[in-house]
Amino acid sequence: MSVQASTRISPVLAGSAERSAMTSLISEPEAPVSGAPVYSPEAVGVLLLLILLSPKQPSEPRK
Amino acid sequence: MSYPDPSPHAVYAAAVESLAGRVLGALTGTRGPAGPARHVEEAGDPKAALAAVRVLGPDVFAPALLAGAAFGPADCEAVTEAFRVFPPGPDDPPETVWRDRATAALLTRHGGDPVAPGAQPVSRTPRHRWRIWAGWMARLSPLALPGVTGPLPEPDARAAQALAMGTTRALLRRDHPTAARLARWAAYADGRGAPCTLDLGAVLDHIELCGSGTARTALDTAIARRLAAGSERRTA
Amino acid sequence: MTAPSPSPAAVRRTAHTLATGAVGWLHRHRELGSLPPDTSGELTDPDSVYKPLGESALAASLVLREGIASPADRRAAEEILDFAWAQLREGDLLYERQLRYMMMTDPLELYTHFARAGYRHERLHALFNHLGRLVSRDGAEQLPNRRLAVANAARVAGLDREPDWQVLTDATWLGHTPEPWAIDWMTAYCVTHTVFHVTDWGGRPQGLSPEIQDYLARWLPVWMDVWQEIQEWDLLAELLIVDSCLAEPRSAPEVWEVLAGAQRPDGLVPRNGEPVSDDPEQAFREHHHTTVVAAVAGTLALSRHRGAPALV
Repeated sequence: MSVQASTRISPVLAGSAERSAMTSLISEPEAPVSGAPVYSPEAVGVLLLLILLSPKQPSEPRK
Repeated sequence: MSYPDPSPHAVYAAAVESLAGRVLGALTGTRGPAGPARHVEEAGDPKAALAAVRVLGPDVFAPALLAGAAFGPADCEAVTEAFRVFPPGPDDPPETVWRDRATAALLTRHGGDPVAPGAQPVSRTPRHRWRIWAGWMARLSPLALPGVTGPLPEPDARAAQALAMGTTRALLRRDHPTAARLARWAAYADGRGAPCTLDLGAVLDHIELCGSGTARTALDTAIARRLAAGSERRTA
Repeated sequence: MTAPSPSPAAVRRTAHTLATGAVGWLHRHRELGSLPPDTSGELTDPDSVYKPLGESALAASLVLREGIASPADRRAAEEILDFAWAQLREGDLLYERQLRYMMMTDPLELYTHFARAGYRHERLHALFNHLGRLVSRDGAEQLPNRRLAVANAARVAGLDREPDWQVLTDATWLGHTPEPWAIDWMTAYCVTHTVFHVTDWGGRPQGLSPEIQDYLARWLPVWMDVWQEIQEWDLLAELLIVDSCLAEPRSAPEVWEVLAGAQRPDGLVPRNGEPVSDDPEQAFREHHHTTVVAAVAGTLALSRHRGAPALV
């Protein structure tokens, strides 16, 4: 079945706003803000171990 | 009282998602004809539908190239129409020129009328700046298709490693759309004798499970699965 | 298209500035790391002063070990060690602590940096050897990279132990050479510490297998890029140390410049992009560790980086 696009009114040449919208969708840039892993105390189950030369951690609960 | 037209960006973005979903459906075997003709014919806003054809560019041929789907005269006409309504311009950025040239070549190969894609050759970023090069390649992901002359005609081990690094960086930044685009190139290189230094299956599973959920990203991962070495559904 | 070889001098120049600044700061502010007068081995808050004393001793011992510091830096390192050793009552505090807490390994881990620089406490040494022979010590519940820390500390201190380095390394995250994208912040630190201990802070680069050397050469640049982007200077500096522990360091001059750019004029290196407190004691608490790490990173790169290009 051959579908003729011309059975409907052809869209007119795109204006500048339309062109901009189209081109901005063509190549989306990388995410501007990184979601890289950071320190999250709730994710570390062994916080209470005394780890020499590890990064500064929140103070341990009192014994 | 009339209001000024808002940017059609949102409407076009929705049309892109819709077309990407169709193309994806054809690749995964879950829906019928996914050619641009049907997409334009069924669209409520034909101009938006044509914008989507321009945005996806070479990827509208993906079902034909990867799954043996038909791409007939009406589909060719839809692409030609999209170029008529949204012609290439002198200010187009290099990646758009690359994509348009690939689309034009695919169109002629499938029997369509030539479209003028803009002729300026574009230089490529040196590959040793892996991060910048990967960013460039991500913007060219629709050229990662069999039979398309793209920026990576002869992938080598260095290219494979740079793509793997870009993919890793994107995943760590939780930028899943970019990760999918780079994984697609990594799969392309992998299928052409430059093995990926990552477990691509795990990468693609990961993107699908915790990625953006957009059809466009799902399309990149689906194509990546088909491009990797050892994948069964490849047409030359 | 090959990566251009960076000038060998470019990395070393920046590394030298970083190291000298950091060592100078550690030296000038060492009194902030004083233990309260009646401190016993029990130490109510080991993280506040005890741990920093050990870290400063580490940095100073490596400056002396590498042997290429300027006379001023050399003198600063010696004075840091003398000060810290005096704070620990020439090792007696470590002895008390080890007796009090039999299963703790920090006395050995602190002692080893002094041993590296030539200090010695005979009874402490004997105590370490005795405890190290116990089955209980072999069976102690520990993270794999912590096990390596103890093994290296024993090695440097010259104790009678023969660990199976292969087995210990295989048990670590790094030993599995996993997906480089499946890592979190804490695991990144496990990687850095694994490398520090297996190679004895770059003293034995051959301690890492060729597979792990290759793995790190491939993925260190990505990790460095990701964490420098969000200004995690502490982790970035540790990753740079890792690079210097490889047989062929390949870190780029640009990365060193980013870290050096974060260093303050007084030599302090902040742990991240947040503002540094004006209160000297708070600044010491929060950024001493990172300044130690920067001192080590700069020192090792200065003596070991030969300008090899990145893999890609």
